[in-house]
Amino acid sequence: MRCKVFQKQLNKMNDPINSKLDPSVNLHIQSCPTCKKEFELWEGFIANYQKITNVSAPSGLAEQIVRENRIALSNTSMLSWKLSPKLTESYALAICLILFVISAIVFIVNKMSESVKMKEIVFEASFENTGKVSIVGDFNQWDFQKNPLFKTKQGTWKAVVFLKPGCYQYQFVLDGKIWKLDPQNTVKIEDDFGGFNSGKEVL
Amino acid sequence: MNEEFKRLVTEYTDYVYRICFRLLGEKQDAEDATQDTFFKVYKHHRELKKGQNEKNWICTIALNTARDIYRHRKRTKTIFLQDDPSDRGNYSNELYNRLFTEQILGSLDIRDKTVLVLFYIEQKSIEEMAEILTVSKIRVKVWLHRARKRVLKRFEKI
Repeated sequence: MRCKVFQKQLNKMNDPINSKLDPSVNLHIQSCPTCKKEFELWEGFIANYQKITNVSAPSGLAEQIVRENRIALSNTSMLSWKLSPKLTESYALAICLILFVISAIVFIVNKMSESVKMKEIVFEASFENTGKVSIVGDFNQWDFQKNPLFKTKQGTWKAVVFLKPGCYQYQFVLDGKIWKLDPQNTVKIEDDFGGFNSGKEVL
Repeated sequence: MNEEFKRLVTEYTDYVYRICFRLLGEKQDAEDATQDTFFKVYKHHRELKKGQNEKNWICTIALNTARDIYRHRKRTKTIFLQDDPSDRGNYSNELYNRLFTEQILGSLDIRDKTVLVLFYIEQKSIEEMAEILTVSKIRVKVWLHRARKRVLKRFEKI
């Protein structure tokens, strides 16, 4: 018998102390000092393990278990309506998460409906001998820096502004100084200072 | 269930206590583990399927409970060892062997001890061990082989 076969035999043997050894195993142990030593060590180890841990439960432990179990169970049934701290924590977390998801959905829906309502309005006019043109109106608080126009290939000035439905007054500002009405728009609205603004209705 | 529970406690307290002691190595820990085990047995007795071996089922709970206690307390000290057996002159042969065994047990981890206890001391078959540990038979064999190798390695070191 080879040592590997002996190892396999030893692995299968779950009671090395009381099991009768196979004659071939016995023969191998007698002839192979390494396996013999291993077998003896193993046998001794298991015997000692059994011996030092062969204990009995302390007297009264069974009665104590029954008694304490009863007390513990009555306590848990009395307090069963209370949530454990771990459970409370997870419930709170879940509620926070749900609230967050709901508010995120509401925010996104609002934003989407807002953007649906906005209309894309194109302002286009041609001005000669100017370097910079911008549009001002009540939609941008008459601030000429907010909506600058860009020059197209055809030489006209163009701007795209998103506006909600309603009536708006506006003018163009050339080089940040000269205010001009929209030459393509015939609708004029009187302002409060005796002048006019161009008017635009967004439907 | 109360009468049934009493029967289980009376019948298996010794068995559970011994298993827990074999894994934890301390009487107080073994007592705690035994109590926790039976509390779980009471709580989950409905999960015991018809035809399932109740002894093995209790054994599974005891092993899991002992493992939890072991990990919770993070035992690093040698569990049984009180003296250093390297000085052979002070001890009788029996005590010397016993101390060596204790030293080896102290250096094994809980899984090694679990498989060794089940296979060599409780004399469970590989099939039963697979059922108790809820793993495959091959894994049980691998664990056993490794545990055996580890013990023999410790012997070589000592």
